[in-house]
Amino acid sequence: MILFDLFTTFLLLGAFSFGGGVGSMELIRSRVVTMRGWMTNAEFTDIISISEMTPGPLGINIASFVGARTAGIPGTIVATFSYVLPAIFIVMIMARIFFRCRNLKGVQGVLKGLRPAIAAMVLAAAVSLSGTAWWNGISNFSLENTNWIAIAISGVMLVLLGKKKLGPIMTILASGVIGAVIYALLGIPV
Amino acid sequence: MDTPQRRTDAKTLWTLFRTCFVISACTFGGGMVVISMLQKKFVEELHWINEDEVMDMVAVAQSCPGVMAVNTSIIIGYRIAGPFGAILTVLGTVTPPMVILAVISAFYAQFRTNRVIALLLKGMQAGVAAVLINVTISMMRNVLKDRKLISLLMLIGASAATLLFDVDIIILIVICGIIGGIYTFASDKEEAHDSL
Repeated sequence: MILFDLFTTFLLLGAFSFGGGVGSMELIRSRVVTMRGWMTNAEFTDIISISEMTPGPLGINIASFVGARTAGIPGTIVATFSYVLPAIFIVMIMARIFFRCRNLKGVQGVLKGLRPAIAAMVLAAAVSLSGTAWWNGISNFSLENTNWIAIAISGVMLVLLGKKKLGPIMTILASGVIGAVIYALLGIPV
Repeated sequence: MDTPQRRTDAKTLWTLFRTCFVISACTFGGGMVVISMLQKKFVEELHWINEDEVMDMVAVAQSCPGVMAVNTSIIIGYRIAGPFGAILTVLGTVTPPMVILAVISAFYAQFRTNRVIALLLKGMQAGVAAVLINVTISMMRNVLKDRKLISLLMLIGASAATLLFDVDIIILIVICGIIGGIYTFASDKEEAHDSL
């Protein structure tokens, strides 16, 4: 039953989404793309791009999109609200505890321990989605499959990001425009 | 916050919902922007919460799983009107993106087959890759900044676990959380011991 699957999947994702939008991206991808097959890596990348241009956090956007895609309006409601349900309870409990003992040390210790894990998860997301951008999926990796235009764009953007000349939104927008013009001029099928 | 006086009149509840709804619908650019808007409204305009409390609330919101902006709205709603307030602020915060993405999803197939949009989205893939690589580099730097062996080992272990061994991410999160908790607890004890 799809609504039940959406409920259990997004409830679990909501309870384990640490490290903000980028930090929890790989967790969400592992369930929504790899395990459930509700969307492809390319579609997942599309939602990341769209999320930069619409209001709303990435996790909510993915939940709403996947829910609507798989089960229409009931799906989007179930997926979105099950994604935030754990936070409602956890935040209220943590607020009560915090304002009673004014101490978050234990929790912050655990979160500090999570930082290497979150960095590793972002690395995994970077590998997988760079694979999608550069080889149309990391499993198609080969020299002749390589999209050198995409690699060149990513390289230039990486330099600009590193020098803080561009923010993430502008980076994604600029790559879209530059890429579209080059692909169109060269007649590359998309 | 020790003895919260709850306001549960209809006007307060409506303001809670409406404020979160409007901020969520109109704010681009992620968590911190939403939080500063919430702060402006609830601290500076309505005076329902004071400045110090907001800092504590953001710290609590950051310590919980989920989305920062949503967590902050939950704690504001809860502080002002109790659990019912929290539910209203969540509703206000998640409804705008939910509606937008549901609409996008309905038109996604048509939208994706439009040649110009397909070209743009394909170009954007390279940008998303660049952003993720950039974030990876700065996060890894941040982890290694403390120059502790355990950070390096955990980083290598966690990276190998996800990339090479396909370890489930939830298991990875639980294991790293436990190690981090134990480590903090142990080094706290050591500090306490040293100061004696």
